[in-house]
Amino acid sequence: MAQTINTRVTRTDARRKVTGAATYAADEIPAGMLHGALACSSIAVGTVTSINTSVAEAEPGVVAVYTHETLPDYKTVKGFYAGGPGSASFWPMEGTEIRYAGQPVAYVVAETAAAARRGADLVEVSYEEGESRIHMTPDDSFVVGAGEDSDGMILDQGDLQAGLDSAAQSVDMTFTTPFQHHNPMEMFAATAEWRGDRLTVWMPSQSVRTLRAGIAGAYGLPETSVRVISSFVGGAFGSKAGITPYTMLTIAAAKGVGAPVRLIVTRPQMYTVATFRPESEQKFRLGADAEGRLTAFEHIETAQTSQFDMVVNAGTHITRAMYACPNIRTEQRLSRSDTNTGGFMRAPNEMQTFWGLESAMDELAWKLEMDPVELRRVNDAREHPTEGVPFSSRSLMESYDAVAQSFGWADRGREVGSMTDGDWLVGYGCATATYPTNILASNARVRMQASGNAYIALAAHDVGTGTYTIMAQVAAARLGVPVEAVDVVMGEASFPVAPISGGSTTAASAGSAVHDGCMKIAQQVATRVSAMSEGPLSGVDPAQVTLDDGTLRGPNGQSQSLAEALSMLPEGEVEVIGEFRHPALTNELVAATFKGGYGTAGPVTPDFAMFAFGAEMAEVHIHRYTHEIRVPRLHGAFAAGTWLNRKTAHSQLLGGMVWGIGSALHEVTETDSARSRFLNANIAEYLIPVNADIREVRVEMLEEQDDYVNPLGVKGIGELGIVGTAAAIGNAVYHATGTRLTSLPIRMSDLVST
Amino acid sequence: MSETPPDLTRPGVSRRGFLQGSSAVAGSLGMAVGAAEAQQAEPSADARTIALTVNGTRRHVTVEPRTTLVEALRDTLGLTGTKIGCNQGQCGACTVLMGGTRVNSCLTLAVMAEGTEIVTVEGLADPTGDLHPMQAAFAENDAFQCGYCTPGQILSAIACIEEGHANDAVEIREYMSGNLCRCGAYPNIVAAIEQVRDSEQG
Ligand code: FES
Ligand code: FES
Repeated sequence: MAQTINTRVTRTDARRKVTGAATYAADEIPAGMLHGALACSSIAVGTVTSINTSVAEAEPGVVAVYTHETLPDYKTVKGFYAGGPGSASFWPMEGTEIRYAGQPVAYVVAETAAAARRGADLVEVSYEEGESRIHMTPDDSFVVGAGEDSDGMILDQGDLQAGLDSAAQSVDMTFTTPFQHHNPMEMFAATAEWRGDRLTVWMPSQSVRTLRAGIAGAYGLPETSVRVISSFVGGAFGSKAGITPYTMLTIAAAKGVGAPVRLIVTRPQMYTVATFRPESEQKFRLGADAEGRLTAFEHIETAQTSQFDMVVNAGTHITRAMYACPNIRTEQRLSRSDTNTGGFMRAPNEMQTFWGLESAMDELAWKLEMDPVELRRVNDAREHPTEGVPFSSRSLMESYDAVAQSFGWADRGREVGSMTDGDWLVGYGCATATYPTNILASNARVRMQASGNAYIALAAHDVGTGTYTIMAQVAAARLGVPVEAVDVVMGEASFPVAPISGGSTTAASAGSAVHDGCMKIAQQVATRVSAMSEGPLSGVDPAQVTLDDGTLRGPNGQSQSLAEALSMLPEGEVEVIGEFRHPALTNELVAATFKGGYGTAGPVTPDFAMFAFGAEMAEVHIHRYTHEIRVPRLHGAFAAGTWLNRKTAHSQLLGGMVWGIGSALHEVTETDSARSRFLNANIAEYLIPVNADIREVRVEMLEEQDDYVNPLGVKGIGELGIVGTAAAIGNAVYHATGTRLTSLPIRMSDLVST
Repeated sequence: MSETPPDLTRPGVSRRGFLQGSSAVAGSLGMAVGAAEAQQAEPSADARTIALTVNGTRRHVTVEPRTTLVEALRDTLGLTGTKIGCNQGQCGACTVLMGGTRVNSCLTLAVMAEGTEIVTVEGLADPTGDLHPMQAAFAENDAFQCGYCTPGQILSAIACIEEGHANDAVEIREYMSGNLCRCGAYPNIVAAIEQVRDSEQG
């Protein structure tokens, strides 16, 4: 049997993806489908005084124009930050209030997409405009939940001031990160079809079960009356997690016109109808003794949030896990402004905070005249610095050593500005990457037949992460069949419970459920064949039978292939529900997941702290005269437990590093402060890396064993690659130029004085 | 080229049933009610029927002057392999070959494509199902994650070699920069193109 785990397996859905046969939500065209389009507010704050829909209604092809006054049977759900499934607490088109620019104010249904868009353009809205402010004001910020249940939002351990006073060197720095938008290539889309009281929704989703539970709840329907289908998702990165207004509006509009309606949100509208990465400020005060050991660690994060939600992406909970230090103080703050509610965007707690932390660590290393890698080494923590539990595994320094080797870190010039290449200044920089290992309950239906075919169904998603493939691999490895013999179906809410595709949880949690299903099949088959009067396992104690690459083995060397044993059963097959319930999952957490929510445990459990680690090294070239910035090389080494599929895992880490380059050099949602609008709301002026921006990106995947995280020993890697990249690049810029940059993205104009 | 024509006869909702259940305005009376019926029904006054040759098969479609090629392919012909990533000429997800040249089909009006040969991702594999070498190279090199940009990348990549713009990695990166990939599969896309280029030369 060929090895199926920890190897390079081509995606099982590759053929569908290269032939156009993979169906994304907007590719489903139910018979008689009409087209929806949104008209959105041009002001940020105020009131709708009137809407004239008559011109739009007269437009040929337009079927209906709905406003807050005319949209029938429109339902909303509670926002995520109020404990519900919605992307925000405030819902548009419930009344006349406008609370952010680009808020939907009318919904047009037409016979063609072009007619719908034209109709939306023709909706005339009058407003009374109020005062607004798009940027947060850190001076006017607050601590979430302080006083009552602070949930670690402020943490004070040891004596920070004493640590600063005793330090040989210290840094006190403030960093900022901008608004960013996910911009998955697939545009947001929803198609709703009512048949009587039964509803089908096709929508790219990171959590079909959340969608179904929320929609069914809102309409008072049994969940069995609502189908939610998301077979392929064209990238999500956190943008397709919650229930958004455009979905509920489309469901209501479809009901209103009595025909299926598909809405494809325009690229500019994607900036305001879902979530984004809030802007943030990261304040660090670090102190170290002469050997570099940290004596003081303070991190205050202030992040933007909307006027009606508190978006808490607790980055300080991650930074304080990084380095050993007796005196640690962290504070998690929010500041409100007039936008839609932000949310999770790839590494929502880590990208912004590690830009700050790892830049500050670099600055400290320069002050100490220490190699920045060695500064990380002397502060490498074996135990979580504030939780007092050991790491289940932590290969941070192994990652640094591996990447230093592949990158050639030893060739780095000791002085700032010491390396050049013709007219280019050259710099090397490094930074730490980490991502918490989160755990969610999961089930999976697993069926195996005597023919050697296996079938798996679960309500997980493939957002590009290779989930179809790795679920098949896990089953193939256990059941001893080829990967191609395993048929995996996902992306439907009616399938067995699987976690949200977020927080890098699917491979570990859903994969462990598939693993459990395979073990249960083996147990059942062993029990039945051992009770038979004939056969190689006849009479053995089934409790002592093990499953080894598709072979059942008894205690005394008896053995039989699983497929053969199955052929002795009259059914010729066995079907089970595999379950993953990590000991750290409390009943409440399991219940939350099974109700369609997110019952996440980790990264800290009573026994261990669970994180994946990595290290990245960047080479930057800055043109002496034009200040053009290039990243000719970016190397990363990562350790994240077992690699299920070295090919798809490599792509995830690579893609994360490309995102990191984007955060470092390109990505920012520009704002019009006067009108509180996002300005560059399209995918040409919101810069993301293009092919020509990406040169050598090398990924090293280290072996690591972790028996605690889950039975597969897998840690999530969907977000790990982006963490630390921006700081590695910023630190390389410092090495090349002596200019310490504190705000993202880094631009040529920041380097004009160098 | 073999091609199963899309089922244009699948039932739409009946016009009567549709109007009963809707709050449709007068302007829509007598109009087709959906994509599937668009061809048989009487669309707007300036709609016209044109012939498009897609993947070697000649098809008649009724479009308005403003109908873009991508919407004609997807919504009228049911060829949904071609993707929309921006609908404003910025991302390349909608790339198809028109007369052998790569074009953004969201920036191309359907009427402009009349009389040309259109190739979409559905037309690349040969009738026996064997993948085009570029499709096979994309699969093998994992030149995608979510796969949404992939149809456009593959057609663009074929044209990139055809144009003689695949001489080295630097040139490939430059000439493939009109096709955005948010999953960041760029190095693997370049590897796939180099592999096909080398096997063609070899
Ligand atoms: S959809 Fe045509 S270029 Fe983006
Ligand atoms: S593969 Fe996802 S956008 Fe390219």
